Amino acid sequence: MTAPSRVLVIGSGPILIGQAAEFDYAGVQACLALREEGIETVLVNSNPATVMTDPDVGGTVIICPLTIEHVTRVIEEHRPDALLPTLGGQTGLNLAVALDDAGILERFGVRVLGTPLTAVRAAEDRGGFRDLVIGIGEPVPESAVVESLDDGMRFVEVLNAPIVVRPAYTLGGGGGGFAHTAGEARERIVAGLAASPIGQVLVERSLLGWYEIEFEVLRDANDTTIAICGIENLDPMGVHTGDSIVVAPIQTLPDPLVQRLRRCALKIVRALKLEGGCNVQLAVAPDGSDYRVIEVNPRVSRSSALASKATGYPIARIAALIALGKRLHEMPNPATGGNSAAFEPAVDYVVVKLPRWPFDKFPTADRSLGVQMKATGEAMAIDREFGSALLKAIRSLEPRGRGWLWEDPAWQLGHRRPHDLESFLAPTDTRLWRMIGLLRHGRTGAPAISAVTGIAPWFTDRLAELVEAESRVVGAPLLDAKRIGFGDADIAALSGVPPVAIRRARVRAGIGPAYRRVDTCAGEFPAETPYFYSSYAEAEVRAPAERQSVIVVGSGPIRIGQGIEFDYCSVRAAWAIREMGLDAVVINNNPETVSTDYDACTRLYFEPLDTESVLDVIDHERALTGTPPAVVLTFGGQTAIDLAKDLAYADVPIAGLTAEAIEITEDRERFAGLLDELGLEGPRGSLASDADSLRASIGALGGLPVIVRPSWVIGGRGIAVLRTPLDLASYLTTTEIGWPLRVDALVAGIELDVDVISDGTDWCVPGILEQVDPPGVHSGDSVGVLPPQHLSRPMQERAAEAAGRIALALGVRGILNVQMIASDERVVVIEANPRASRTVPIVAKAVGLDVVAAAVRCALGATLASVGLAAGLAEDGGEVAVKVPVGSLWRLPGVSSELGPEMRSTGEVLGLATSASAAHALAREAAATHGG
Amino acid sequence: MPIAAQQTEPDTTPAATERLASFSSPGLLALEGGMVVRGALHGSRLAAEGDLVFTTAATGWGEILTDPSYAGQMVVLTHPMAGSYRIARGELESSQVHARGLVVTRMVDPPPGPGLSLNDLLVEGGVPALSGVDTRALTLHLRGGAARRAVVAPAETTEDVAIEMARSSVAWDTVDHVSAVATRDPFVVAPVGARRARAVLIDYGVKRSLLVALASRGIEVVGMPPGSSHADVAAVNADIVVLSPGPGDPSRMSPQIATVRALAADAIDGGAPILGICLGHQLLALAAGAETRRLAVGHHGGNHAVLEVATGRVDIGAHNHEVEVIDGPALAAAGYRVSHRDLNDGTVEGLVHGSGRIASVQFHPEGAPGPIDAARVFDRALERALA
Repeated sequence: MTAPSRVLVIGSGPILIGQAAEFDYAGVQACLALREEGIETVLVNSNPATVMTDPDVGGTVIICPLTIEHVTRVIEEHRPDALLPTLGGQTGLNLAVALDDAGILERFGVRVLGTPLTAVRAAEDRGGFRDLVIGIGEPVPESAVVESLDDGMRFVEVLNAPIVVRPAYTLGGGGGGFAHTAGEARERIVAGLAASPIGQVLVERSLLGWYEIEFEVLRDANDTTIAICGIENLDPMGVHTGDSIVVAPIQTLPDPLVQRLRRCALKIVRALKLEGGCNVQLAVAPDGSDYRVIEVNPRVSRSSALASKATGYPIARIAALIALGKRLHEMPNPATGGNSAAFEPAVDYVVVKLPRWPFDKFPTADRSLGVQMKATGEAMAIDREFGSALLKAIRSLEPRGRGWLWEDPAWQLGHRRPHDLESFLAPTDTRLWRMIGLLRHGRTGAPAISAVTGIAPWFTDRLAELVEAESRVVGAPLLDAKRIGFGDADIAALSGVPPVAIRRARVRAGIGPAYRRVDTCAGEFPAETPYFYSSYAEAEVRAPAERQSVIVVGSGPIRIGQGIEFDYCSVRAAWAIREMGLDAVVINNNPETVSTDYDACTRLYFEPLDTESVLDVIDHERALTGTPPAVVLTFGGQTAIDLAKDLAYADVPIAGLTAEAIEITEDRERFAGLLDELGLEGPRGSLASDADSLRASIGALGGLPVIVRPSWVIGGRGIAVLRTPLDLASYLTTTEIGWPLRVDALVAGIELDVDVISDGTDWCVPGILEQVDPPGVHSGDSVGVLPPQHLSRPMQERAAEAAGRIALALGVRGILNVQMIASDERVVVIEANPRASRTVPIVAKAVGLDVVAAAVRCALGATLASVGLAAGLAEDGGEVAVKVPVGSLWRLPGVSSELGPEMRSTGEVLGLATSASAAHALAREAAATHGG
Repeated sequence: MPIAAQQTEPDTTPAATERLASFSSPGLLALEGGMVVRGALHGSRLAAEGDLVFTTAATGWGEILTDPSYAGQMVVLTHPMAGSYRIARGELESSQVHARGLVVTRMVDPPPGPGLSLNDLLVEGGVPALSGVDTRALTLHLRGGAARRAVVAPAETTEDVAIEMARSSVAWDTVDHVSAVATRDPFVVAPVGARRARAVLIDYGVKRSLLVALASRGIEVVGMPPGSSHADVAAVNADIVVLSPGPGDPSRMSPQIATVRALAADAIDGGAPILGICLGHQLLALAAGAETRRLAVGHHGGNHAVLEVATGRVDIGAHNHEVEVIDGPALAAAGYRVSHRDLNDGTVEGLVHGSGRIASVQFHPEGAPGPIDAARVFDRALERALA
């Protein structure tokens, strides 16, 4: 096969539940691998908040709607000779299949690299896949399509196992359901036949409660087929794997069974003749006697990103090279530098992934977990044992009081055992904590929990062990508690002291974690992967580091309001630091992302983003390099900024920023004072400490509408717009209010998002984003346009200057985001965030400037001039950029789709064109493609 | 009042603390180089000595402990959680524990159910395991070339004494492990289904899984003791000769090498073809005049890929060997070429004779623990036997 010269890579579009940063990670790995091979790339994606859409990654980058028409136009214009379809998630894959079906690929002589589309179709077509699996002698769930009760019951009798009935052609599976007895089966089939407009039902063996096992498999054209990682879902079948607690490698199954499942996975991938990565999902009977093939994903996926991070084996990168026709055994080992990429990683640690759900934002949402994924993101932790990895994963969720020790008081576990254990332990986002609580209060034992939940006894035994260990924390040596994995904050809470006391005690006693290398080979060979996790274990021989290191604190799991844009910022920051000749050190825990690719930095620490772990890494880096590292918090969203106070308390200097500056921006009274000093207008407002003073404050502002927010706002939570007396009444009765509230008049006008870069002396605003939706709608949910279309240049300059002056007054070096409202000739400053914001990648894409690199260089001491920026508001470029938010709300029953001050969208798309109307049209089209 | 009723409800559920970890006592591991690690002793409370080897297999402790090839060795598990599941007797590779001991990070009590816990197996085998050891640190130490003789002992043993015990222990490669583990009398394993061929297997320490792999292909296996002479073997009148895996250093096995030399000559002359596995592979090479040596770091695990040179086919294999065949001119002179190589470090993983009648592999196509991706080695052997 001759190598292609120009390859089209299709991205996955906006972040949606079920389709997140993992495809940016896969796409970036693929593009970089192709370019290393001297192959040009043409990249199409509609999501600007991605690393792949930067030209130094994607090559020729076209930001456009992911539709057949647009991609056809790209093919026509750029004439790629090949297409790599398996790295852009289901969106990219579907588009590739559609282009093929439409004859576009043939017409323009574009060949498909890697897994052939025939194989994709074979894997995705349920009936065809079923036949294929049966054909190679592997088991699928038994099923029958029946049109009568008698036929249905005949099948049930032969099967003699629980079933699920799915009526044909009903919306959302209406009329279907599970049946455990013959009587239930009869009822279900009758109901199902009645519900189906064609009187037909699928009766299938129910695998509810079976264990769910996945394998990530790679195959090349030489038929070399390897299993990179086996993954075990703690939650049994019935909970989407994206909503499951996941463990790697497989912990509970004996070797013969692991081998049987692995062989099955390999056999399927070989039968499909896939060339690249594939995820195979299997269900295993709890007694280990039997298994069934559930499905395959003939592409890289969330699970393959997890497997890559869990093992250190870069699946997407190798899959891209396989697509070029390279063979696994002829490629160098990506981790050890040895001879061959054909090996199966061996790990000498345990990996735990926990999902991150958006229910904190949507208290009314249905929190039950099932076959439809609800998590927006995930955190992963690595440690030597399951228990310590789980504890670290919980810390990585940034629990804000909902750590290992959290219990909902409503459970009353201190007083009683729940009436109905089954409903108490039904799959929800809090099930893990419910199990822990039951064990803690001795309400039930691990075996009973396993019996009710179907979770393998091995896991509940480990929880029971942790609970038992928790009871011994107080009074035992600190090192014991740390070895088990309890965080400083947990130990502090158990001991009734502040967390800082635990840290001090640790420092005094010299108790700290060692950093272990993720090396793909369990220590069998020397490896140079700069990828580490902490463990209370013996220190490994350290590679001498001589250079100054700069730590970029990442943004953790993706959640609404803190998404992939901060991963973009973290990665660009790390790259800029590396280019400065410094060691770029990244701390993060989100396995989906580019920033947790050890290739993206000098050293990667896969750790929780809490005070304890970040300070531990800082201490370790100081010991490693002999110099205190610089710490950059501005690119990790609110997660990183929230660490500032504790870092300052520990005397860690923050690059370009002081804890004082952060506090001023977060304390609305102090911020109002700063605006007064600068002669800038802020919202007229006051503090209300109870309902009466709230009514008085509203009166003083001249009545409704007002916007209310807790004085210390974290991530925009708890904000509301009150427009009518009814709003006020319902706010006071239905909301858990964090008094005191800041009450501001809702200023009518045009909301602006201004990102300002400052070197401490001068400032530069590369671009201003105008929010099209009215103030009161969260800026993340608002359509945005850059440059502003309804604001004169002088007004824009006034806005930019206001932002610049705030940056200088705060002493910010680096980047500051200011939100303001332009109202007639007034500029009213709403708030300032001393960090990169959601708008940074949009500005970067729209004006073609590496905003993050400029900001990080300034934060580390460079001047605006030296990074090539002129002071003041930059001139408009030739193009207009329009950002449209895209949501996944339809996935969350119980969530209203009405827009307000709480952000609801999960992702965004961009339209770029020479006119505002064309850019709007493109962005709307791109959003519509993804249900936005 | 429902609430009051609930508060007075007797708490009959077991406390989380009820199921304690299996009984253990303090112990230590001492290496001849002077390194001492303390931990908890499980299984036997008697001191044990042996050469330390590490395996990267994450599962398969039952198979590992009962594999005769581990005779004289103490096995370090790089995977930190050991004992997580119950071991079915049918998974065991022989009727007894052959490894001298086990060194692990964490010993887990498996959930109740049928089968043996790892601790049960250790007690039954009378060997100790030491938990609480940072096995990654130990592995890096061993990988770095540390001397491997070691002792696992109760904590009462003073460190100096333990180190001295390690230093004075008998070196693994000076002992005849084979005669200690292999059969003393001939035995027969019936084929599964109709008999398609008969193999004579010289047992140097065969695993159950190898016998199963042969029998399941319709091969009747006649097992012979390791000291069997050429005449003994020839008398079986088999369709193929299988030289089994086994423990120890093959270079000290002169009588067996002589027998293998004679069998190889027969095979080349059109006599029964030969399949050698692991130790059997090494004996074939030695019989051909080649040399073997101890690997700097032994291969133990189920994740190395092996390249079949002739076809370019790559398989993940189960590996368990401390010794390798040196790829020197003697092999070619005797008509052998290297048929398989380890893709990680280039180790010779298989040989084939130019006559096509002798083939051997260093790895374990029967897996256990580990993959059986290259099980066609047995299919080819059967074809040769039937040809």
